Amino acid sequence: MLKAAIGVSDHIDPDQAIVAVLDQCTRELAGAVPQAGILYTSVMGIDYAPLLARVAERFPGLALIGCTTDGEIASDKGFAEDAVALLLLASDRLRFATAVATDLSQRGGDALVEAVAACRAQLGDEPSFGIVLPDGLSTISLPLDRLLRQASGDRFPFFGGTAGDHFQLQTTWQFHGERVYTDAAPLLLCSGRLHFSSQVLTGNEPIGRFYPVTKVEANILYEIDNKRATDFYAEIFGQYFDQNPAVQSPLAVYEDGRHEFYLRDNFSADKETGSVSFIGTFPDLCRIRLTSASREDILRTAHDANEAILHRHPGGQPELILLFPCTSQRHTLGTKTNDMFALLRQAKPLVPFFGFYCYGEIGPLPSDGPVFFHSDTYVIVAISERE
Amino acid sequence: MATEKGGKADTAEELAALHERIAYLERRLARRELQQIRQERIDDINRHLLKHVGRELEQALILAEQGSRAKSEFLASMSHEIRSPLNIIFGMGELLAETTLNQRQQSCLNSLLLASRQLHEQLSNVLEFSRLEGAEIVVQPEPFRFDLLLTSLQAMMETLAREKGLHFEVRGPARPLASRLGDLPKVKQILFNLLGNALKYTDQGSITLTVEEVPDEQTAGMLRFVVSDTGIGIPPGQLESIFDHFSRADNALATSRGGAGLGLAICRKLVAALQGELAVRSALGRGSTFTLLLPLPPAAHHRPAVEEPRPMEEAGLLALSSLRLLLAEDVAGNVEVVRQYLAPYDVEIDHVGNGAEAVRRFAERRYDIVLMDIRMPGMDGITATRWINQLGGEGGGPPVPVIAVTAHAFPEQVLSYLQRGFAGVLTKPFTRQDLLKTLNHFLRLSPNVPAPSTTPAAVGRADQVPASLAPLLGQVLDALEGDLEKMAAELRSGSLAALAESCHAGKGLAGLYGLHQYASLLAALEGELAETVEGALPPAERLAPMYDYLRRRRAARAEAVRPGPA
Repeated sequence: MLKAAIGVSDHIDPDQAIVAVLDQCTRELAGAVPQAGILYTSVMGIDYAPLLARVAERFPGLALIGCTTDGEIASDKGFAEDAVALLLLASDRLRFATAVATDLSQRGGDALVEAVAACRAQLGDEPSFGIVLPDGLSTISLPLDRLLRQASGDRFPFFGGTAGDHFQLQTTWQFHGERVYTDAAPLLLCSGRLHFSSQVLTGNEPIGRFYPVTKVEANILYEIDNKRATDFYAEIFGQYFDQNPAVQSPLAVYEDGRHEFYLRDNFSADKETGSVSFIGTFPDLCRIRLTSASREDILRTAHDANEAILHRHPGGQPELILLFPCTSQRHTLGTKTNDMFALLRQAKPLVPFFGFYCYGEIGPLPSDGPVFFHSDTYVIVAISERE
Repeated sequence: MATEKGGKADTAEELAALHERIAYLERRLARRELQQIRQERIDDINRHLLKHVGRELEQALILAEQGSRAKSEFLASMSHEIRSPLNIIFGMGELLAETTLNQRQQSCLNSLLLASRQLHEQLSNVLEFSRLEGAEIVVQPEPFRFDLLLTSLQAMMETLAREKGLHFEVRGPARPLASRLGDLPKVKQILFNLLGNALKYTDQGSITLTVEEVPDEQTAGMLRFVVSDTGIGIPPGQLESIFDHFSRADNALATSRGGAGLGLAICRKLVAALQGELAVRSALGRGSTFTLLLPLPPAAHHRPAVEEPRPMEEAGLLALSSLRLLLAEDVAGNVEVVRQYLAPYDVEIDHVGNGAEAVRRFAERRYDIVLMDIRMPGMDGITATRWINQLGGEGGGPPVPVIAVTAHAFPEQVLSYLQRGFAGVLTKPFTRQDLLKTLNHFLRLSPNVPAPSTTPAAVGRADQVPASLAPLLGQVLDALEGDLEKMAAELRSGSLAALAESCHAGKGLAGLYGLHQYASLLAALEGELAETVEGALPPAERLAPMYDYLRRRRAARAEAVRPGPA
């Protein structure tokens, strides 16, 4: 059986918060010894090393990864911000291994390959799945999904989300063991007999006409419909684009000849070159449409995904649910953010769930298909040990 | 002391806890405010975006409408360009058939005529379908004689079936149906299409049209029309797709019959517009049965406002004698067709090749009737007609009917010609009978030939609206009312010449639509105006009978379209 212990605290003092979190986890573990852990926090502008040291001190030898976020999610509180949240995993049958890929923006592919290799070496057998938490800002021009597929050899799926910085859009931080990184991607790989299932859904609906992307390089659009990308945005969004080029209205991207789409969020603009940068890359040939998401749409898709996870998990009742929703969803939902997890909180018995609001989401599409990088999406994963 | 110290420590701890609590709440509040600002911005952006997309859709709609208009214009133009030479093919074929031909020549001619009939049918279907596809179908129910509908279907089908060696039979309802309320032209079009298909796909055996009343609690006057044939049948997998446009049953026999596969698609659209149902069952190689359910309730009035025209043979043709006709037409083949059609009659034809020449010739000579092509080099037929009507009015003599001879055949185009001063419209391609009928009709109306229709008997002559023009009756009444207002203004201002011209134009329009009583009223006033001494004005109440007539006609029409008891 997989034992999951979760602690969360939004105490104003991070030192006291981590103590409270560790106490909660200790109580929940009830003597079980955790092998792995994930720590999230949206408390910004602090030194994270002491927090990590506290965890290591309480649970020596724990394989820990983590990152800064735009909000934490845990079973008992639902959504929390300015909080510290910790998940600890204890299992007799599953094995866990962690590593970190560093200097991602410079040597992304190689760094990930090395990190996966390091994990494989620790595990000694084939991973069943991996959790990855890359930097959400330094990696925006990287084809993260392709690099992850390359690193895993497409032999196991990755789930995860990119680290946030409480929407300051300055610097995000990643954790591995007791060390703090930026421009990195900590990995947690798990092996052993287990069931997992996942859902990857978005609430955004494409609206209006298709526009051809006429000039693109990686994550930067230079021309849309033969217009400078900044002119295109200014024409459509007017003052909203002038005030803040991250307009929070993602584009639906249709690859050449395809009818399904994925989403991309614009991030910044350069009026001199007329270009707009996005979180995530574009293919060379594609068309785009504008999208709109209502609170109702987001809640409906979250509800559908939660329902599928709770009722169609192959191993029956899941033992742990991991969540990686996009931060734009909580911004749109506002005071209704907690309604995203209403169904999960009503489940009897309660399945522990744990997650964070990401700048970008990672998950396979379909659930047994290749890994993709998503925006404005709700990724949910359920895990249970197999007898 | 210790207590005092302990008390101070407690207070300091409480204070620190309070500070922490305040800081916590302040942070929560700041987050909440930040969240609200973000949420408002997202909502604003979404609203802005929806407005943008709405504007985009509006523009797309405008472009689509422009495209649709361009398509309609293209269709009208194509219709004109194809109908015009088709008129020559038809005409010459008809004339050729009257000559002595050997067997081979006769066979070639038959093929020629058959192919041109098919071409005409396909052209009409394509145009009709295109018109129906883009536009909302307006249903205009009027009372009509059901027995005459069956008679005309029988007359048409019997001849055609006989030519193919088939037996055709109409099985009427158990008790004769009196007047019914419905959109007769559309009902006829559906039945013509179904019967035409049966004829096309049946090589031996019979075609039967069965009509029966269907008791239906929901819908009054539901009738079932069953068209069954012993033809080639339809493969089972295609029973639904045959109603799609450009679709025919996919078998070699069906393909060999030709056609664009639009007839049934048109039927389905019309049936839906009439709130009916159309179904088919078929056995391959043994025939098909189309079942049509249409609500055609009994009409409130037994005397129909729409007269179903009797078959052509019964109409009778007046002898045309000593007639002088001006023909304005730029295509030599069409001129030849008219000349040959009228060759057996004592008709003197003056031909001109454009509108300007027509006006000049009209100013020089007196004509009984003018046949005017619309599209000609230089001055077009519409401009020439305006000039001719003006010349006619100035000449003081009786007005001369100008008939538009055109391949622009859509009903709204016909109406626009009538509103622009034409007395009538003859649509290409036309047969000899069509031409003779038209000439007879207008020469009967024209004061040039028979006695002017100012006698009490003529005033009392019943209105007879041709079925084919019935859908446009509402618009015609609108136009006549507008004209009457204009006439009232002309009377008030003492513009008697303009008033006479308006009488003349209105008379032509009313006559064409079978509103003979109104045409007579206008003719009487026109006659009075011709004899009016200069400066003497008719009294204002002189227009009262016209107002009365239009009011009554409107009321009768409203009454007629009200559904009657089942």
